[in-house]
Amino acid sequence: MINLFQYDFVVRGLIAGIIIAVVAPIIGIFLVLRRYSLIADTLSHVSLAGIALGLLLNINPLLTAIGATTFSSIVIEKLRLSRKVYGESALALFLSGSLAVAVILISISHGFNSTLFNYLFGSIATVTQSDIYTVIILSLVVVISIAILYKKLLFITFDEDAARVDRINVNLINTIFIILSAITISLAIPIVGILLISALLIIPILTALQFKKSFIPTILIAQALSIFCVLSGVVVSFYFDLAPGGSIVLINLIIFLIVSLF
Amino acid sequence: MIPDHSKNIIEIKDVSFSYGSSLVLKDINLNIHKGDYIGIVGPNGGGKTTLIKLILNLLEVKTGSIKVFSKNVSYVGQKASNIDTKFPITVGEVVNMGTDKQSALKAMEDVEITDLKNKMIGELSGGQLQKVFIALALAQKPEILFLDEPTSGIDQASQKDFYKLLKKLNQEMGITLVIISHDVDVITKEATEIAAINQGLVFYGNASEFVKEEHGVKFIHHFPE
Repeated sequence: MINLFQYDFVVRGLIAGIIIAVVAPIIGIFLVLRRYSLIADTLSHVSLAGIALGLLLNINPLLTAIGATTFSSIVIEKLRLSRKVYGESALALFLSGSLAVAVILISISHGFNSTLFNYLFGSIATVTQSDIYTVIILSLVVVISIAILYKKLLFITFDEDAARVDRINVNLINTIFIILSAITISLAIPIVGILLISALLIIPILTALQFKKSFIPTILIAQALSIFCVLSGVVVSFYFDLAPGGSIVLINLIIFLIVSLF
Repeated sequence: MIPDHSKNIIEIKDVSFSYGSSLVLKDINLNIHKGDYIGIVGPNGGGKTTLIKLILNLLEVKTGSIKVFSKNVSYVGQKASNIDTKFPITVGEVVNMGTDKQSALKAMEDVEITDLKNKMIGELSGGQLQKVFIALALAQKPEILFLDEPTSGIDQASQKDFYKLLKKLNQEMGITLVIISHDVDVITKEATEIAAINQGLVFYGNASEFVKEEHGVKFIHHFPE
């Protein structure tokens, strides 16, 4: 049997995957509890436009994806706060708008369809050494920021009005949180692909919630599940020649079904 | 009769408010004094919650002015009675959210829920849940505490217990209480002052003047249309 660890790209993919498996539930739990799950989907579509732009301009697509999602997340939050459109409609606006931009950029370039396919469905082979550094640094930024804001973010998630009365700057913290979500989503692209990112943020949390534990234990359970799914997904996909992104998400779903049934 | 409390802690002057074209509050003038225990009553849609939200800056005052002479204000909103019971959090974590560990422990002691510290909020009864929200508010060491329909969905025994707790907060801890309630019978017994709101301020004075009982017949101050 071939040893999968002899391939550098597999090791790189696994390192990035495990880091994302640790970071994604930290963002995911707040998204789920605040009924914001759909923003992960929207921002992942925005990241497609960012990637298409990166490929067109020959810039590292991970960086352009982070730029596009961060910018869009701020605009979405502003739109939601202005109450000019319903929060949900702001998401729909960006979801379709960014897909339109992506399609136009793809049609202008003609040449990068196969590369783009990797980004759509995930391909750990696309993880470069410099991507690993980017993932490590930005993951640290996300984890440290959430650790600093943890109590306030929890308060806002639990009771936004009471948090406002307690003079917590809810709008600022919401904006920072949505930017951190955007960064996390962009970092997860190489692992599961644009179309499956939201699964990595949401499903482990939904599974962990079934255990009815308190906040931090719920995050820890989700992280453990997520690491297991990434590792087993990569191994299964390697030996059975399957798409790793799809394998990771399907294993996640199977575990969710088993846990929620019992 | 205006209670003999010398210091205003909230001053509401000529406040009107509309949601779009529908007028909810009209020319409200009301002073709330330090140490008051005031019940805000009125019909559904009469503007009670809107007034509280304006005082708390959760809604923007566009006509008139509201001054609050304290920075230590806490709020137990209607959320307390329809909280997401699946929220993965313990009582201790809730109370600790907006403060340090010591203040949280003290607040839980004051409200007598220390034994519930490690319980998940989904396992609590309505009355216990309400106490958790009070503890969360108390942990911020408020001078004024606002409560919006705090006893809805709570059984009578727990209600009694709850009002006993509010009395303690007001009389022993000196916290000014502003409480919205639809239960006129109960709130007129518990609060010392009543403000009745139906778009405008239709009554303000001692609770005993709001409900009068003569020869066994109750007269409740009437809300003009």
